[in-house]
Amino acid sequence: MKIASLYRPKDVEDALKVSRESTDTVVFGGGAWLKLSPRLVKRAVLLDDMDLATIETSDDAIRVGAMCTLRMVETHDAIAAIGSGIIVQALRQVMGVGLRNIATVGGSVMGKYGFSDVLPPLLALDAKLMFADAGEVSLASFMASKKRMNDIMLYVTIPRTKSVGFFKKVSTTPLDFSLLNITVCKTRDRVRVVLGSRPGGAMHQDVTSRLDLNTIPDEKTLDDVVREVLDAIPLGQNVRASKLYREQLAKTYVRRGVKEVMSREG
Amino acid sequence: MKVNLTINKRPRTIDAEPGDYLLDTLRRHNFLSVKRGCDAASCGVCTVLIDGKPTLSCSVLTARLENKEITTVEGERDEIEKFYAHFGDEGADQCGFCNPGLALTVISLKRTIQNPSDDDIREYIVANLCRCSGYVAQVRAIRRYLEETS
Amino acid sequence: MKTVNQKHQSVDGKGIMLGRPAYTDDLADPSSLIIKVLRSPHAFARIKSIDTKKAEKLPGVELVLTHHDVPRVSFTRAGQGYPEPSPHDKFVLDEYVRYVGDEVAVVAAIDESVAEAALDLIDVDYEVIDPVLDFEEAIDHQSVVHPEEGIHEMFPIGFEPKRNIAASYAMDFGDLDNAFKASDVVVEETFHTQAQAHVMMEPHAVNARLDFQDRLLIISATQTPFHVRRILSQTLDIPIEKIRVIKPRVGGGFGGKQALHGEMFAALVTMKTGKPSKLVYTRQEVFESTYTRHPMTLKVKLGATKDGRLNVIDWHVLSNTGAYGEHALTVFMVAGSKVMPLYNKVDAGRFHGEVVYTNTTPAGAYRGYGAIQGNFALESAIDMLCVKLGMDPIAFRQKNMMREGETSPIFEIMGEGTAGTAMTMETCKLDYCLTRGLELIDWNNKYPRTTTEDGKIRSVGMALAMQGSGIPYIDMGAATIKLNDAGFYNLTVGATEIGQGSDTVLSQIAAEALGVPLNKVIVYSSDTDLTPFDTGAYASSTTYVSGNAVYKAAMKMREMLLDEAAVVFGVEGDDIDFDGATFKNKADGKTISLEQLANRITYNEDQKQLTATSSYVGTKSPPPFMAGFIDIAVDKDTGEIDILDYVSVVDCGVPINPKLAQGQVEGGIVQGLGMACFEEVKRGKNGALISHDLLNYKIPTNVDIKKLTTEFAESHEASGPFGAKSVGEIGIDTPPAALANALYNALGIRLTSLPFTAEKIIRALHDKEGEKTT
Ligand SMILES: Cc1cc2nc3c(=O)[nH]c(=O)nc-3n(C[C@H](O)[C@H](O)[C@H](O)COP(=O)(O)OP(=O)(O)OC[C@H]3O[C@@H](n4cnc5c(N)ncnc54)[C@H](O)[C@@H]3O)c2cc1C
Ligand code: FES
Ligand code: FES
Repeated sequence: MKIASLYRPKDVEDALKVSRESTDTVVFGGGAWLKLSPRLVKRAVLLDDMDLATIETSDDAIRVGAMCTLRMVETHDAIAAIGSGIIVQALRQVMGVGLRNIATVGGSVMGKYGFSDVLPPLLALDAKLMFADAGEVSLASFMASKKRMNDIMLYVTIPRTKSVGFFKKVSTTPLDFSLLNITVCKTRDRVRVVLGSRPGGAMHQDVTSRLDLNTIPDEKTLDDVVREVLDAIPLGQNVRASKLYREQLAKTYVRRGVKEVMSREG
Repeated sequence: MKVNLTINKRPRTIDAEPGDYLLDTLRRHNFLSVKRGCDAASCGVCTVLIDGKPTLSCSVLTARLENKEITTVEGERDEIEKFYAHFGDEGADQCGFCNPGLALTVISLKRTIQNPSDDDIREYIVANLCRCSGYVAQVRAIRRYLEETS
Repeated sequence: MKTVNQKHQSVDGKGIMLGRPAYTDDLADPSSLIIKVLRSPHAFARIKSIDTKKAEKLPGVELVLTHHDVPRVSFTRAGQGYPEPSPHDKFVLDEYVRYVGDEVAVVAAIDESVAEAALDLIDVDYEVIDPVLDFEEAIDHQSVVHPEEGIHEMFPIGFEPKRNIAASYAMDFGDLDNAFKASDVVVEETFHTQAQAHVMMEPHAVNARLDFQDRLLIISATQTPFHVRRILSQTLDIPIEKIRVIKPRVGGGFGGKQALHGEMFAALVTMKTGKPSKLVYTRQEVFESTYTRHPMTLKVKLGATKDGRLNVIDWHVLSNTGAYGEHALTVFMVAGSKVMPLYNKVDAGRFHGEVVYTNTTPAGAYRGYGAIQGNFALESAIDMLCVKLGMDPIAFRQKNMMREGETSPIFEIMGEGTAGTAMTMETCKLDYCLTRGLELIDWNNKYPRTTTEDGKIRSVGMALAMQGSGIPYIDMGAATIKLNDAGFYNLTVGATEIGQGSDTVLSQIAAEALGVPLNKVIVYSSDTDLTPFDTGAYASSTTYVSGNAVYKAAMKMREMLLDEAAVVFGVEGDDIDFDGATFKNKADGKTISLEQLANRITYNEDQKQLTATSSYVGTKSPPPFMAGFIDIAVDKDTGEIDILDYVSVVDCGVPINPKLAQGQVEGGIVQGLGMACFEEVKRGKNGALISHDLLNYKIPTNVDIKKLTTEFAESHEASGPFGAKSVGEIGIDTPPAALANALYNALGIRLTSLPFTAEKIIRALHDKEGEKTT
C-alpha cells in the first residue's frame, strides 16, 4: 500500500463528500487489511476525529462506533453478556491482541470478508448498520446485497434481546482463517443458524419452525434442522477446504450447536 | 508532516510521510528492538505498546499517532530484566528475534489480566509466533514471572 | 561438573530481549543502497530480451544488473564441504528463469520506493516454456530444466541434467531376493512427503560495504560464513583475502540460511558502485525464492519372519530438488543413512533412487533433512508390518532395533554424497528411551485407544529416530582461546550461533575445561577475519565437532598456563596443582592466582600474549537417538486433532546445557508436528506459490502446543566434549510417523501422504466406511 496524502474530515458530510471524490480516495478503518493490498491511495480518509470510537449502551441495544477496535468490543461487559458471549468468543479468535487493537468494526463490516468471524455473530443477533447516506440498513440485507456501498458506516446497533448462542470457528491453527464458522442463536421466538467462510460471505437460515422452543430436540429433529440449513446455505470449496468437508463440518457443528442452545435457558 | 508523540516516555516531534508505518519510523529512529518478520500483521515480532496496548507496528500509520505513547523494550528495561530472569532460566530463548515483541505482549498481559490461567496466557500471546522454541518453556517462564511480580 | 550439564542462562538472551542491536539489519550501514530483485512471474521461461533503460533513468537508481552484466561462472549456493556434493548448476543471473520467483534482474537505488518503482520499469520479453511441475513426471520430460552449457558436478553424483536428474544413487547389501523369500510377511507401501517452509522469523538479510582497507565487508544472516567467503571469491573472481564475512546474531536458520541468498547481489552492487548496499528479503521472497524441504516419494518394502524378525528393508526414493540442486544428493542419502541403521539386524537392504529437477522453488537444507522423510516412511511401515504380523509394535522394535555396542553396515556404505565411515555405537540408550517413554505417556493404559468424556477418540503412537553428529572427515571446527589480563578469556569460534545456543554451549565447554565460571569466558562468533575456520552450523555438528575443538583449545591453554606458572615457581609444570583459579606449588604450598599470573605476563615479567588454537575433525558421527510418543484426541466427526502431549526421551550423550538442549528438542518436535499436521507449501496450476505469506502458510502457535514432556537418557559419549553428542535435529524426526501411527491406532486408517489435515482424516475414514459397506 502506498499512500500519497491523508485527510481528516471533521464531520460526516465532509467525510462523505471527500470519500466519493475519486476511486483513489479510500476510507480507513484501522488500515490493517488495507495495508495488505498493493494499491496506490491518493487520499486516505481517516475517521479518527469523528467520535466514532465509542460504545453506547441503552436498555434495548448497544451502539458500537465504526472506529471501535475489535479489542474494545471484546472487552466490553455488556457485549459479552449478549447471546452467551458469542461476539466476544468470535472476536477473540481473530488473530491476536496486537491486530485486534488496530482492526476496527467499520473495516470488518465494510470489507464483507468471506472469511469473516466478526460478521456471523452479528448476523445471528440481527444487528443493524447505520450509514452516513443510506441511513439504517439491516446487516442481513447488507450481506445479501451484491452492491458495493459507496458510503460511510457510522455504527452498528446490536439488540440486547435475551438470547443463548453457540459459536465455533474451525481452523487449522488459531491464526488461520476459518475453514467454516458456525453460529447458532436462540431468542425467545427464533433459532437462527449462520454459516460463515463457506468460503463466501456469511449466510443465515432460521430453523425455528422445525423446533419446539421449550424442548430439547431429538436426533430426528436435528437431522431435519441440519438438512434444512444445508439445503438453504450453499457451501463451496477453496484452498482451505473442499465442499464435501465443509458439509461434513456443517453437519457436525450445526447439530452440536442447536443441541447446545436448545438445552440452555435463554 | 510533523507528529508529536512520546517514545519510551520521551516526547518527540517526528517527521513522517503520510504512508509511513510505525515500524519503519521506529527503526529509522534507532529503536532497533522492533523487528520486521512479515510486514503483514501475521507474525507479531513488530509488537510495541501504544498507550499500553500491544499493537503491530507494521500495520499502524505513524501519522495517526499524534499524542500517543509508544513503548518499546528499550523503555521497559526493569520489567524486561525481571521477565528475562525466568525466561532465561527456562531456556525459553533461542534466536531471540521474537523476544522483544513477546516480552511487550507479556508485560501488557500482566497489566491487564488478573490471575490468568495457562490458557489465558496462550490466548494472549498466540499471535507472537516463534519458530524456535516449542512454546511450552515460554509459558512456564511467563507463569513464573507473573507469580513472582504480582 | 561445575558448568557443563548445569542450568545456565544463555550468554546473550537478555541483551537480545532488551533489544540491543544484534541482527544484520540492525547493524547495516544506514546509508546503504537498497537492493530489490525483479523475479520471474513464469515457472519456466527464457529471457528473449530485457530492457533496463527506463529503470536506469529513474532518479535515485544507481545500478541495474541483468544476466548480461554478471560473470558467467556456474556455482552452487549450498554451503557444504568443498568440493561440494551439489552440482554447479546456478549462475548469478541467467537467461533462463526456472521457477516463479527466480531472479531476473537486480536494482540498487537510494531507497526502497525508488528501487520498487524501478522494478516496474524493466521490460522483459519472455519466451515461456512448458514447465515441469510434477516431480513424478520430471525424468525425461520434454522440457529440460537445465538445458544450458557450463554446468557440472564436482565429483560423480549421477548428474544427468538432460534427463532432469540432479543426482542419483544406489546401494545394496546382502541377498535381497533370499531375504524376501525367507520372510513370512511382506509389506509394501508408497509414502509422500510435502515441501515444508523454514519460516525462520528473521528474513534473509545481507549488508555489503567496502571498508577503509578497500576490502569487501559482508554482514550476512548466514549459517556458513566461511563458505560464503569462498563461494563469493570463486564466483565473482574477487581475491579471497579481499573479502570479510561477518555473521552477526541470526534470527533462526534451520538450514534455510545454509546457502547464499542475497550475498552475490550485495557484493556485486557494492563492488560496482563503491557504495554500501543492503538486501533484506520480504516474507514473500523468503517463501518463494529461498528454499523448502525436499518433497519425496518413498516406496518401502519390508520383509519379516513370523516370529517378528525384520529381514530386509528395500526402498526406492524419488526426491524433488526444484529448480536448482542444492543439497540434492546429500538430503536424499540421509533419508536412508540416518534411518536404516535403526534396524541394524537385517540380512539385506537396498536404497536407491533419483533426485529430479522441476520448475518449483528450490529445495535445500532443512533441519532433519532427509531423515524426517525417511523416518516417516520406515517407522510407518514398521507399524504396518506389526499389524500384519499380529505383533506388538513395541516388542517388535525392542527385538530389532539398534543397541549399544552394535553397528550397521550402512555407516560404512553411506556417507553424505560419498562413502561413509564404519563405527560401532559406543552410546545407544534407545532401549531406555523406549521404556521410559512408554511410562511417561502411560502407553499401557492408552494403547491403542480409549474414549474421552466428550466423545473423542484418544490414542497414542510412537516412532524411534536417530541422527548424526557432524560429518566425519569433512566437518571441521576450530576455536581460539586468548588469555587476558586479570585472568579472563576470549573464546573465538567459527561455529555459527544461529539461535540454537551454540555460543553459550561452547562457552560452557571452555569454562568447564578451564575451571572458571561461565562469565570469565567471553565468546565471539563468527567473522572470517577474526575467528578460526568452521564449516558452519549444519548436520548437527556444532556441539560435537566445534565443541571438541573448544575442549582441545582449552586443554592447550591450561598447558600453556602451567608452563608460565612453572617459571614463576621455578619448578616443572607437573609439580603444580591448578584448579582454574589458583596455581599451587605442590612442594611448598606457595600459590599464585590466575589473575596475578595473567597480570604478570601482561604487564610485568616474561610478558607475552597467550592464545591457544585447536581444531577438530570427527572420525565418526555418533548418532543421538530418541523415542517419540504422541498422545492425541481425535474428533471422528470432523477429523480435528488435539495434541495432548508429546513425550520425547532423548539420548544425546551428556547435555551440555540441559535447558537449551530441551529447547532444541522441543523446537524440533513442534516443527515436526507442523509438518505432520498441516504445514504445506502450496502451488497454483501455473507453479506460483499460493502459500507465499503467513496468512496462507501456517506454523504451529502457542495454543496448538499445550504440553511437551522431554527427558534425557543418562549417556556419556566418550568421543564427545564432556560426553556430548548432538541434539539440534533429532527432535524433528519422529512426529510424522508417530502421528500416522496414532491415527491408525485411533481410527484404523493408514495415512501415507503428509500432512494429515483434518480433511484428509475424514476422507480416509469415509473411504474406510465405504469399503465396509460395499
Ligand atoms: C493478517 C490478518 C488476519 C486476519 N484474520 C482474520 C480472521 O481470522 N477472522 C476475521 O474475521 N478477520 C480477520 N482479519 C480481518 C480483521 O478482523 C479486520 O476485519 C480487517 O483488518 C479490517 O479492519 P480494519 O480496521 O483494518 O479495516 P481497513 O483495512 O481500514 O478497511 C477495510 C475496508 O473497509 C473500509 N472501511 C473501513 N471503515 C469504514 C467505514 N467506517 N465506512 C466505510 N468503509 C470503511 C475500507 O475502505 C476498506 O475497504 C484479519 C486481518 C489481517 C490483517
Ligand atoms: S512484522 Fe509481522 S506482524 Fe508486523
Ligand atoms: S526464539 Fe527464534 S523465533 Fe522465537
